[in-house]
Amino acid sequence: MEVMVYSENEKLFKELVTAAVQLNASKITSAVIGSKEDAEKAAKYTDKAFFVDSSQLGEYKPKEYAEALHSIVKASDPQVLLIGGTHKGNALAAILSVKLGEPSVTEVSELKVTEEGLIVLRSAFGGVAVAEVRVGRKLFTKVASPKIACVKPGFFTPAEESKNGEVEKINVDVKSSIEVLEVKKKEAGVGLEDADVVVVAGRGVRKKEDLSLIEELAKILGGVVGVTRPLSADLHWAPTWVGMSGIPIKPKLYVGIGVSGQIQHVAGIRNSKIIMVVNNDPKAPIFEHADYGVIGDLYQVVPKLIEMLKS
Amino acid sequence: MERILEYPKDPIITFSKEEELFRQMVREFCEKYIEPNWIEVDKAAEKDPMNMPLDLIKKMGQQGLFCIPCSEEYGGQGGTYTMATIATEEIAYSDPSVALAVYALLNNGWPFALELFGSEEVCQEILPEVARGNAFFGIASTEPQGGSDVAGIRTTATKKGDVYVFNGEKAYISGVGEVQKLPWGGGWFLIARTGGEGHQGLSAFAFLARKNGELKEGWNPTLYEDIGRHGLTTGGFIMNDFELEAKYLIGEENKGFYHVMEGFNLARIVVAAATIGAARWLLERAVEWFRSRKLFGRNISSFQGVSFKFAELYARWEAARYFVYRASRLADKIYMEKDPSLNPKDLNVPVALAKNYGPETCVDLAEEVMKWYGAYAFTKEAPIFRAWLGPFSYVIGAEGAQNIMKVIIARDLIGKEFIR
Amino acid sequence: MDIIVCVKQSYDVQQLKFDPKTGEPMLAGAPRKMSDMDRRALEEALRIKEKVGGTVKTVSVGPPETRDVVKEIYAMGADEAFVVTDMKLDKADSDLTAKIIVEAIKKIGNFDLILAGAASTDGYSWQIPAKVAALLDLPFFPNAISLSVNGELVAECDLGEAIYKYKAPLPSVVSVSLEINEPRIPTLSAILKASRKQFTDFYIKDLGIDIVTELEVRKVTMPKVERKNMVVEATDPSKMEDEIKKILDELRKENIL
Repeated sequence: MEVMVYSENEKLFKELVTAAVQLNASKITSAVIGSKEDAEKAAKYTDKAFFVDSSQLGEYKPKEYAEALHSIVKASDPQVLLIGGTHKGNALAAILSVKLGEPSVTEVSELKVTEEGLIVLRSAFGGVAVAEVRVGRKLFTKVASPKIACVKPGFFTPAEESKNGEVEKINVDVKSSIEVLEVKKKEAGVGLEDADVVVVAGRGVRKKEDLSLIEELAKILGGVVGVTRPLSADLHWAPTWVGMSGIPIKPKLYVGIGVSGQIQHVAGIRNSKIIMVVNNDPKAPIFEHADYGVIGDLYQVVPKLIEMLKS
Repeated sequence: MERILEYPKDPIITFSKEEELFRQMVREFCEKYIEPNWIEVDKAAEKDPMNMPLDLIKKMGQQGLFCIPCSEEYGGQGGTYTMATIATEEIAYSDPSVALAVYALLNNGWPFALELFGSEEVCQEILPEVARGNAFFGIASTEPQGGSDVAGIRTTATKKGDVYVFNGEKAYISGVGEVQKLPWGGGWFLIARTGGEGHQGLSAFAFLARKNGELKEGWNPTLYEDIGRHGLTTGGFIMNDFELEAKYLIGEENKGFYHVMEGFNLARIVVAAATIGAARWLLERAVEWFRSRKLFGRNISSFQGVSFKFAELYARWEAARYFVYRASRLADKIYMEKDPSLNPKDLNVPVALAKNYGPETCVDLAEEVMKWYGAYAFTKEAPIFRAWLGPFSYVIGAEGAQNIMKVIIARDLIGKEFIR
Repeated sequence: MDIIVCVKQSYDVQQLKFDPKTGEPMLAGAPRKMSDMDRRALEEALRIKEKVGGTVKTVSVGPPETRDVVKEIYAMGADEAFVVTDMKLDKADSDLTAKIIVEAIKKIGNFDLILAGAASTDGYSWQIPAKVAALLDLPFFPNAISLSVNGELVAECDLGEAIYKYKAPLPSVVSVSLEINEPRIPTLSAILKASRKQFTDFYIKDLGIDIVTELEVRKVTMPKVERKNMVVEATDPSKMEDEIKKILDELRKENIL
């Protein structure tokens, strides 16, 4: 069984390779839209790297990139195509799915291949639940008609270099009527997604100024501050929020301060290694999802916590 | 805010799909604009009553929360009276000091009363401005000597040619500050004496103290410092030869008493609606507290002295809610559907029940919740007292004192001559 | 400018309850609401119409409960709503839904722009707008945070590590993010007017589509992550430090601190 992997994100690409290995792929190929050097790099992780020279395509454009990817898929014979589940990847998966006439599934966290075909676990109901989904009826139908799965970042350990695969260039002839006027890179820095420690302020925090208390705690723990949806969407204390509808996070330590534990928030922090919370309401749903809980007034507990961590 | 208590599922008082959607939209509005701000509004206006939330009033106007039952040709929403009731209940839930709910209920009830009895020209001039949140239109009946004795009103309106000339004093009037500060101005459904003694010498006027941004002469306002419900001003005013064009007479001369009584019935429904909204907020604060507080190592609601009291108050709340919506549905039948088998007087007892029951339940509940909270409730940090002092205004008076409600119930049921 | 917006009546995930025994969602009669991002897509369409004129039509696909969303669609200000419902569509996958949307759009007529939420509140597949675009062979732009049309389309799309600004000819398909706008809350008079407006029902058989799905959902459960659930009470100021210390000691044991 051939598994092909594609992601524009290097770390996620390596995670997909691990996912492919775990599927017991007999052959792992990679699709690259980039330079020859990029393809050579990818070939260190896979048996073969196909690439379309991105200088022919320019910056990312969903339709054109999907056409390029389509040409690559046709050049090989994958039964499963794993795509990194980013905004870019999800869009490519959808367009490719239509072009190939094969199903696509997104938000995937686990996969396996059985005699019934490709079976995945994906988040459902906005991340509140997990669904087991069979992707397509049979796995082996016709040549170059892979089932497509978009895998969420962070669920597989990135693979190490282990191969020395060959590189093949695929020529495409893509015409485009679309112009990319600007690509504004976002500021680098430790975002919520990558932070090891995230301290989240919830509705229990009464005033915007009180966020400085949360920031102080985050600083001592070496982490960053996030907020829940109401603090961002309703009160505009921060541009984004932590949760399934905002930014899902999976830090080593999550600390929720005055967070009640609305279902979509819990869904967005579920993969945190350790969850610690402070809330004055022992019936707050967040306690059910916590490893460590402190029942108490955050305005007393947090300063005490800071004092104890300092010494 | 997370809703702790589910709204009762009720097969007797039911709501149409439009009403359900409207309630949902009002909630969304309140969650976004009122819930995060009501405490600040209360605090700011406590410092200075002229710090009224003009931006919020503007937003509420844009959202169509005033003049809900008024016709669309007058800038109203063309809704039912029950829709005004729903909006008032939800606004009070999100601002349990009830300042914004009272602003809304006055500017639903009294514009509607104006539309019932006023001339087309006057409605056309005033109502669109009220609907948009540019002008205030409330009630001015009470005088320094007392509020409940409407028949004893002393303010005079003497007709001289094309104008009425007003002399006298009104006291405990909501909106005295708003009329001065809102972009257009506004005024009141004002009762004054145009004829002889007693209730048959009274007329109602659309009394505009300020219009098109210009204050009229002969109107001398003063503002009070209220104990609660800051964010809506209360004050009084003296009229010294204040002139008002004759077209502002509402309905017939010397029939004002009957017009204002119908207006009071309508306004009392939404007053009671505000108190059940605030009471629902209080019930939720109680449940929240019970779930988080322990006393002698036990949940405080495990003491039956607490949980039974809670159950009793909850029952009173449901009953008040029933009274409110029953009265409101009856108002719809009388004024919207014009059911020929009904008469405006049929509202007297149902409305008196709602107005008697709602505010008392709310205030009793607030007091109990404060006791359950203990010392914390006595600090200004706990917002419970704001939901106590605001609704308290409706136990004291405002749209009819509690004892007056009992008089109405007894009078209508036993007979006028038997209660003298 | 004629705009078609895809609007889903999603499950209200906030209110979804799960069977405590089986961990499965209790979907029968579960409350639904207009999908958050679709609401923003509709808002964006209405804003474009208010600026440059034209029409805003909507298409909604799903089980019969989907019809309930029409009132809100009209209350917000759409000109015409089209609905395709079938009992079996509760299990529709993104391929089937996109195919139905496309067939419905072909019946609705001409358009310059198709808008949809980037993902639905309950499904979160991120697939349907792109599949609609692919089936119609139109350009597609995902997760837009701003949009302007003036003979052609300029869209700024949040694609994770960067914001891409595209210029493209019309017609195109754009999916919108939650950040694109703050949707209006309909007024009562709009709700009342909406209740008098009729909508068009399309039937699956008229669209010539067989209800087959390639994705088969076999089981849905509330995932259980085993948590330690160690809770201390720090309400008494005199014991607070000792109680908190218990937690910090555990965190140290786990090498978190």
